[in-house]
Amino acid sequence: LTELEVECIRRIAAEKAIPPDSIMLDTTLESIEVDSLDRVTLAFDLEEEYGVEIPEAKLHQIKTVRDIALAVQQALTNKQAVPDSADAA
Amino acid sequence: MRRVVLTGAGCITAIGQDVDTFRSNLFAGVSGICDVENVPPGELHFSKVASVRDFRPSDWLMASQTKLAERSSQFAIASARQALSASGLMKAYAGCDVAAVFGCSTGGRSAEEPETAKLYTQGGRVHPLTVPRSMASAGTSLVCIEHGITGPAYTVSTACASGAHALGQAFHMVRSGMVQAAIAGGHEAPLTYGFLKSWDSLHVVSPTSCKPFAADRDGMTLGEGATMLTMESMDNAVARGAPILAELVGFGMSSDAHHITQANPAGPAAAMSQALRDAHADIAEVGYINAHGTGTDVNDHVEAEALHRVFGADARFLPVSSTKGLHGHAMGASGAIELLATALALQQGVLPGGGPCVLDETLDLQCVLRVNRAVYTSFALSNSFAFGGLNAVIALRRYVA
Repeated sequence: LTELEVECIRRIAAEKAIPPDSIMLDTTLESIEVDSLDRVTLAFDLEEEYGVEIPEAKLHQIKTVRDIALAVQQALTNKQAVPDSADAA
Repeated sequence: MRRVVLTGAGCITAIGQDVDTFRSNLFAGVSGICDVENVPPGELHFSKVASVRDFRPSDWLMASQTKLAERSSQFAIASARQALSASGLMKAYAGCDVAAVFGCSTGGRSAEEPETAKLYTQGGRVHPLTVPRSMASAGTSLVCIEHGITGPAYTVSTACASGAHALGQAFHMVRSGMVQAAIAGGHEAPLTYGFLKSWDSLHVVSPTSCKPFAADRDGMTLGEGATMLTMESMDNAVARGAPILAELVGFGMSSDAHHITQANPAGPAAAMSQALRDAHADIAEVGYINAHGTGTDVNDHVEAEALHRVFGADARFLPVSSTKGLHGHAMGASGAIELLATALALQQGVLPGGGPCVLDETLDLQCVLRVNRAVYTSFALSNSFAFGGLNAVIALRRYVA
């Protein structure tokens, strides 16, 4: 597991009060009762933590733990590829 | 029509976070007014509020509620659980036969204000739980979810009369048979920086502390808290051996149609008269009035005038007190907190005094209680009058088994 994947699992486990080792990368969010409000909240918290923004379309496609970790990872990659104006200056 | 009784109560207030503590502090005259916290010194013209100190959300919130419940909803959850537990209401009625009607004026300000302040000053994004945390009806929803209440449920917002309007409407719903039972009351957590500053600008908050009907009164003291009460038909309550606090007998409402902040005596008088008519009671039966009594110059004048209009020559000798000098003015929760105080007064046979002061003689109310009066009273009114002239008065009768 990557550090990012561990962090996603940690946050979900804490939010749903379930043991982290019961959550696999391919666990569907639905199966552990992560509803749509939990999902946008989880995404928001991860976005804040990593300073990224997951595109709206991507957010709606997230079904598993792997999806959300991947979405954050891609946002991070995009951010490094396209430095914002402050970084460029 | 069915007779309706109050069977369970719960409260989170500046003078107690359960009914027993509230009762003992109410009758001991212990004030919950304390220093304002979390506001930079010199920012306000006043320094006192009636806050709920040492409230521990973790004592009350289930894991599923922790992130969703802002302080105002936390108060609703805690007080509702106390009331439902005391009355055993949900064991006696199906969820679809129970209504939940709560008063809340300001919503979840502590969830909204910091997010908005950050947005306006730094830009950026707003937390996705801001809407569910800050909506005024969140408390009603969270309580319904917790207890499986699926009957009529909504939140009433009539500023400082919200809790009284909520209780009165729930009473009429139970009396008419629309529902078998209800939980109703008010909850409010308005002591945020933005709200305190907003009140400060109105110059109606006391720079000392709230002294209702006193000659030297100089304004209200802002407070927070919640009170919830369960109600059901007297027949059912007696049959199932539920504890009975008092009988709800009348409810009156009116609008001043006058001014957005200045009250007018006609409105409060009409609400009191309506409550008496609804209770089929005569003015001579009234033995106690728990006044709205905010301690502002205008309110206490207008309320005194309204009492004179309704009670005529009897007004002078009518036992009246306002308990806001103890628990502060908890906005939309006030009507519920004060109905609990009124019910306890009838049950205990003790009318609570408002605290020592020199009375304002120009009000011509000679029987404003400053110390407790030990007397069994059979009938009382609880007055709630809101900014904007929205009035609600509830009549209670002492219950004797």
